[in-house]
Amino acid sequence: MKALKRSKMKVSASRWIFVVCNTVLMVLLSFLFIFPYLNILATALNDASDTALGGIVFWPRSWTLDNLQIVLIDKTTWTGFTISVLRVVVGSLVALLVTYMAGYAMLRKGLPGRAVIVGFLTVPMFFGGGIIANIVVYRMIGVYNTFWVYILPCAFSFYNMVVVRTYLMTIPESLPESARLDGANELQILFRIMLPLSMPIVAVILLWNAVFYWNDWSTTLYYVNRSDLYTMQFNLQMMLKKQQNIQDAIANAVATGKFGNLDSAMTPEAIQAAQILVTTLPIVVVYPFVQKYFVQGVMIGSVKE
Amino acid sequence: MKFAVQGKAAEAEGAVPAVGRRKKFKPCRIRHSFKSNLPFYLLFAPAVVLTLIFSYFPMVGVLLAFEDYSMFTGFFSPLTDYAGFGHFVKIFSTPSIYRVIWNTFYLNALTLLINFPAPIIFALLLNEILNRPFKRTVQTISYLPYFLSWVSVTGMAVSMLSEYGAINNIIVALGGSRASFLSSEGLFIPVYIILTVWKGLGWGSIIYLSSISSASPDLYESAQLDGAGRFMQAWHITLPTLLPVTMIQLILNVGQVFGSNFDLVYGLTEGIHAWSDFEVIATWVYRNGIVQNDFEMGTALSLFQSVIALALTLTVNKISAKVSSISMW
Repeated sequence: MKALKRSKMKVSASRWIFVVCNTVLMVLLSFLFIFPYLNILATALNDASDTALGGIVFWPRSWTLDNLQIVLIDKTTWTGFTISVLRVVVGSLVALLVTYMAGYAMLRKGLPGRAVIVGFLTVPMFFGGGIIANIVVYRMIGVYNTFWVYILPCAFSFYNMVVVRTYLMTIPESLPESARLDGANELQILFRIMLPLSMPIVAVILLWNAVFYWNDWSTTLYYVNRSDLYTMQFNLQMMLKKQQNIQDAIANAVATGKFGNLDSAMTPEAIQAAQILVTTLPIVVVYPFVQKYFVQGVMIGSVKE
Repeated sequence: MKFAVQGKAAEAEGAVPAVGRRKKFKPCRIRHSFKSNLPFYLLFAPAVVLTLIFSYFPMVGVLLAFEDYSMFTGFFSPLTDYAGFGHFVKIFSTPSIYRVIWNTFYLNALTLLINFPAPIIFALLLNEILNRPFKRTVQTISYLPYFLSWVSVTGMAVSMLSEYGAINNIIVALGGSRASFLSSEGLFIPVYIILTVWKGLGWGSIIYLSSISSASPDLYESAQLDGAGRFMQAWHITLPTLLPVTMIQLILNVGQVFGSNFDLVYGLTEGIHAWSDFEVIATWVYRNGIVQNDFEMGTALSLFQSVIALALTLTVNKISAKVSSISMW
């Protein structure tokens, strides 16, 4: 409707120039957004010794799966993958549960002490003890260097709680109220009535946390030093940081006997690109289909009370 | 107690009989019995317990900054020696620390200056695209960088800038000669800024685009009747519509001007292609406080950073409340 009205407007020459320039700019920007990823894709799928000659920009010249195979044969990759997936699944579910329950509780009008509780939960948004104080506390309570350090410290998010509350406020109060009259207890109301009615926000919170957990790596750097607990992102950082890790990966691959003599043909750049590809591919494949939930979440979050 | 029971009875009877009672108790607040409230406290409990342990305990741990910490005594023991402000004095008498603090501030201020308006401009330009499928495609593509981790982004950047990386390949294809970007330290800041903008542009624009679409179409129609062109409409209608959300974003952003993007700085300064020795507070705390085990000094500098960040957020919020009556609380 709006577009129709606009098209009826008399179109001036300056408007035309603007529209053309703007469209060109948007196409250019879109290209810039995906270009680095295309470059990594090309480098990862191109023969390493061929890449070293230069000239690879965003299309492989001499296709090969060797680089990827070296990364995929490496046991470290699979340990990292398992830990990352576990973290995403367990972490997102725990975070959803904690945040959703608190968001629902926030709805209760006239709950004595509600303001105190909410205030208590707000303060950490603005002030924290810092990493070192965290390390000391995590050591004291025993989560340091365990899998739980990946799950518990970031299970509750004040912002996400407010987003949940904002969404739940759109559900008519009469629904939980009538269930209460029918003798349902709060847990039943929460899981049987509210939860099914708020699937969009459940998706938002789950996905936000999933992406955060998948991409986070500094938690491992600060609080974990057991190699069986390293995440994929951490392994990637190690590979970017230390030549040794790359050589280990190549040596492991050679030891399997599938590649012949690879040492001379491999370059750190090719292995790194393959590792980046493997680490990011799950998210890049999924994101176009789930981004609408992310966008919805941002919009709900931007509504001020 | 009697009151509470009465309240519950009124609640059970529904809204209509409650009217009489409401007249009697002037502030018509809903009251429930403790028993009916209990489930809600229990629903809050996990969040409260987690916050207590993982956010408030470390705040107490900040005491480290004032102690001579020892692994053996812990930090509440009567055996603990207190250093008072000794660690702060020590930190601020280290000449190199001023460089670190300045770096943090400078890098973030620069990022804010460029990174803050960029998504607004992008949103305004995107809003002028009337072809919906095209607009949606551009949007979806622009979100890609947001979904990539900083680790992989730094990896990509280093790969592209390496001797036989994409940038050099393009330069050669255009007839130039290879440059060694990774050894010129002056490029650290531009690359840092470009990467932040690249990663945040599309995602940051969502919030502005959604505000733009919430502006009433009537305003645009009457503006058209008054003969306002597209530019005038954007200036007089779209921009004012964006003001509240812009102010909130600004408050949030300014609070972070003393924070650091640890992942990005660390990723670019550590590794096979260690770029430069650029150090910000977060990397200093990690390298000196954790790697070198200087716990007290690290905590002291962290605390300094947190306090400044808090003060900044509060100040900006106050200024914003005065100037534009928009504030976070």
